[in-house]
Amino acid sequence: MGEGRGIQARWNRRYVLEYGVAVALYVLTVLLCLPPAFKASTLSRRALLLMGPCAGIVALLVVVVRHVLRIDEFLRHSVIESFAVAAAFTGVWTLAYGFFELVGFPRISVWWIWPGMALSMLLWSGVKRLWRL
Amino acid sequence: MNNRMEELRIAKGWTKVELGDRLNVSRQTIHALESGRYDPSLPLAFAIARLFGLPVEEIFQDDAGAAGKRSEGRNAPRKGR
Repeated sequence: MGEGRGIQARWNRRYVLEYGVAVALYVLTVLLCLPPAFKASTLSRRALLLMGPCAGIVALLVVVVRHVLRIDEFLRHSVIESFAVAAAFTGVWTLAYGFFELVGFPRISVWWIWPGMALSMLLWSGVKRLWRL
Repeated sequence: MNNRMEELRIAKGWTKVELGDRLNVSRQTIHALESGRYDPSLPLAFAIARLFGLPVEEIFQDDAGAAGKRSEGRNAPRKGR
């Protein structure tokens, strides 16, 4: 039997489907809420309209949590482990780079934490494969 | 911890995916269990034992326990003739 069958493939298909719905909801709410938010007369109306895309973000969170709870114990263990290592690694490089910024290195946006964490997770999976951890 | 999962799965003629489906776990999990990279939780160990119709201790053996039993065997006083 190939990779495309079995319970893991069903979990993955479900995850991709739910993730797709959440992303679609996010894009839809951005398209529907952002243009009127810029035109709204009061700050409270603008804030209310900008809350719209948050529905998509919350949906994404729910999808990720559902997936982590759906998968089996070994996969959950692997996901949590790689997340913990990536968080620790990101903590180290952000703290270290803070010192570099003090001596004149360019200030970088806090948004770089996300690609940094993703890269750390990839690196960790590579290390695990290489050293069979 | 050592286990006989691969031997038992092959004896049943199941693939890793088929065994995973019977236990509600992924092929990756079966591979990790068989290669000894991952020790299952108690509920999963009991589910595996139920599926193969064997007691847990006949499928999973503790490394330290097995080594202890071997050394006990070596050191045990011999029965007189």
